[in-house]
Amino acid sequence: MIDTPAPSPVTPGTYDELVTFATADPDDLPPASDSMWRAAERLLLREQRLLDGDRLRSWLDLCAEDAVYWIPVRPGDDPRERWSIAFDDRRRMEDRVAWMETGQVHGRTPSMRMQRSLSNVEVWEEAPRVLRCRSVASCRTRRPQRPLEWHATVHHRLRVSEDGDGGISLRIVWKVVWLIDAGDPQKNLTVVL
Amino acid sequence: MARAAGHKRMINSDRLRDLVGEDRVHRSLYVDPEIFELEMHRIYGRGWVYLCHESEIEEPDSFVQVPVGRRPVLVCRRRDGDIVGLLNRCAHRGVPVCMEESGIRPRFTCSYHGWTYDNGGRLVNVPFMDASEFENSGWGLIPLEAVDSYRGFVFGVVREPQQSLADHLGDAAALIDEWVDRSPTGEISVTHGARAIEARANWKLYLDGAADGLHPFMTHRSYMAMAGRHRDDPYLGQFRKSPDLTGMYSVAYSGGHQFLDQRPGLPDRVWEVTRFLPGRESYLEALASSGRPQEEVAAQLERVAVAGMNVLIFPNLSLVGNSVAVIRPLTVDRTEVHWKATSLAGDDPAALPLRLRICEDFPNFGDPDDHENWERAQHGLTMVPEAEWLSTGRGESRAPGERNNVTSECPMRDYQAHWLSLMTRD
Repeated sequence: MIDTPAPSPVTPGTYDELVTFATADPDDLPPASDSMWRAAERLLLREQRLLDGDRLRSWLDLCAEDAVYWIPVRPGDDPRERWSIAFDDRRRMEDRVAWMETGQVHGRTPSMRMQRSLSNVEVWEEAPRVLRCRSVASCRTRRPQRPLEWHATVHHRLRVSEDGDGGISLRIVWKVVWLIDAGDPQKNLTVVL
Repeated sequence: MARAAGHKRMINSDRLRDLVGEDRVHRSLYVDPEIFELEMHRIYGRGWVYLCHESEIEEPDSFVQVPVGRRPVLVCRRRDGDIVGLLNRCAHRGVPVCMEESGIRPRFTCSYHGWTYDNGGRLVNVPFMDASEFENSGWGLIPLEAVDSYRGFVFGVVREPQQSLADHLGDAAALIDEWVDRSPTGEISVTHGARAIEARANWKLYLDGAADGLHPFMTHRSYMAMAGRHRDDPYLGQFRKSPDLTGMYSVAYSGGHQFLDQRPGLPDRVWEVTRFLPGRESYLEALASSGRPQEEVAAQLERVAVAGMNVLIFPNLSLVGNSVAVIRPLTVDRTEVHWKATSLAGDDPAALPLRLRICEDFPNFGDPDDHENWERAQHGLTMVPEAEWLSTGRGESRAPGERNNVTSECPMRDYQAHWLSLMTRD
């Protein structure tokens, strides 16, 4: 069934903001409150667990409508001038999930078991109801004949909203993944990092 | 003294000729380390090899480092504009004199004892020694014996060039013209970053697929299924049913070059089958409010969409979509492919981000499936010595320059014949 997708929210302004975010020094920001810090950490851990389990639709639910998932070739790359290993708006994130769900991605068959780990989480308050997180993430899997792994420093921007029950809910607005070896030849990358 | 059978095989020309048949090729082309060593010598050491694009070394004293076969080579733009290729190996103890991939350097100093060379390869300093003692000693960086460029693409020959670059490219030069002439000024830029993959596969598996119009319907089912969610006729869908009836064709060229023309299978305006990629709508709005006439807008969108041409310049340059791929053999069963996005000089600068997002699409959702199948092929070829041959007989053998059915293996057979002629020459 043919379905015309929603328009991309990416504009020249998105690129401006994303480049500023990627190059900013988080130490210029105030640390998040303990409760926000814990909420952010919970979200990041949950994201890893959902991805480990290939629960890709649930992962998408963690992401905002204006989300961007970006893996630059090098930290500091400007996506307006240089291409990326991945540069997904929400629409291409959905493409990526649909692609992985086709069952016809040869690099994902036989099925892959994945194990991610996350450490060095730090959380800052970028603006009221906007958090910035830095973490160190690894993903390990195994293809026939060999192990595969990726290691990255990840910067998230999270948006905080009321959940209606007096609590808060967090969604991923931006996820910028700096693979430590992004400039080097990559093994077959068929996972969301 | 007699050797045990199979202990030491000598690869000679007669043996090589036995490995390439009219409808088959022997597995040892992909798995025999001796053949790989000979390729590094006879193909990558004696023939024209793609080095880089001139736009990557536009500044005076700029350089890039690339492998020629496995040799580290510095391709340098000298102050007078000349381009030279230098083997990156100090004459003193063999250390590469530069470890960077690119930069601006008029001189290179070895990290071991400080021998220093200019970017023409001349030895200009040996620490604590008078110039008179080393000048004219002949101990410089060894230059490639030929470097030449065509439409901005720089090629070189390590030793004993047998022919000019023009003769090497032959009629395939027209393919480069056609690809580059999508640019309003006839120039392109290859300065938008490089992403590389490493496959556990022999480098020729890339060449086998360069003009292979049969594999997309099977290898790229995941791409088609994903893209088919949003269009009846997505890009690549032209391979789904009877690709030979679409008008798409392939051509083999003398010199081992190959061409697959997807355009007859695509609408006149490729934009119409281009996927919905990040920033599409904001660029369309900018175009709509620019006041540019409709025809110009349509032409602009064609410069953003992919070229629909797959060009392979033997042995290591591939033009696909709007990207340049460079094949780098590492060992008999490991290969890197370095992909670089391009832009068109004189094009609307506001179009570049969308063009780059389109360039990213196939590497994300198409290449992984090619990559996996090359690795599977390498696995089967390596692990099953009893099955010696691969079938390459599909399609008629037509003369170089003639059009083949797009699923024909004629371009593959022709490049293998060219490979054999290089491997068996004295």
